[in-house]
Amino acid sequence: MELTVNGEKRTCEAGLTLEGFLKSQNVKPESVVVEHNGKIIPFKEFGTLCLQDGDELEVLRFMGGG
Amino acid sequence: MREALERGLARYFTEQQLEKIRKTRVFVAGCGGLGSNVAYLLVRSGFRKLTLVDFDTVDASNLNRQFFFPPQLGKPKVEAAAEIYRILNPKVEITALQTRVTAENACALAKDADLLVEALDEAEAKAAFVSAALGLGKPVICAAGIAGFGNTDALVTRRFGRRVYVVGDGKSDTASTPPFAPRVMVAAAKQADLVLQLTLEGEQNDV
Repeated sequence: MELTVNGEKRTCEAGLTLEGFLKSQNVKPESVVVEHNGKIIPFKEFGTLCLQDGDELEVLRFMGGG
Repeated sequence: MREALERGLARYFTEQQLEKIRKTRVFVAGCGGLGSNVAYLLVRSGFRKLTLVDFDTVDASNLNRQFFFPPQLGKPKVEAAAEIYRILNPKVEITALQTRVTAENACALAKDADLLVEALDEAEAKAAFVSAALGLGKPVICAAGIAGFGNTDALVTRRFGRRVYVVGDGKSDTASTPPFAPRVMVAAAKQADLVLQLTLEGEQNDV
């Protein structure tokens, strides 16, 4: 299936959860805030949200430093 | 002498602008390299109402970039910061909370604020705070990627969704690269400038 992630098209296997997708991209789910089709997804829903073809994701990734 | 800062500010801002700045409450989550410098720049710009939250105390290793001074070692950071800001402007009204900001307490602590600044240290704490704080429907100004030195032009402001602004290079991580004053202060200055802009001009369609 095809996703748009931070404005770029990405192809990935069908049936992935949001958590699965993040892990496949080597992104720690605990360190991001995700907007899925325009809606912010609470962290506790990352493991149950199944991604669909055509979904749009905005992934805001944090790194240490304050 | 007590009135010096505000008397001086009247030369640069209109009374209407000063009124907006004075009545705006800014919530600063974390009072380390980013938070202590963001709040300092806000006080200089005339902000009086600040809520500072940090569990930590001032350590010698903070002095390379955080707005603290050697006689303040061992003091809670939020109190040490408030002490300095009061010298600059005795009219500041600072709520200093020595506690850890979490996803659970973020909304309750920040509910009276007009704007929120994310100035926490760990990636997971940042994400948890921003995710929770978004529920308040107020602008959240964050930082991601401020470590190291060099190429300060890589520290840019991006917008995420409607109300989240992110300052940084999006890459450098203090987990692997130490933080130094210049880059940390560039990021802090950009965060403070966004607070000033949003206060005076409201939320824009573009950064």
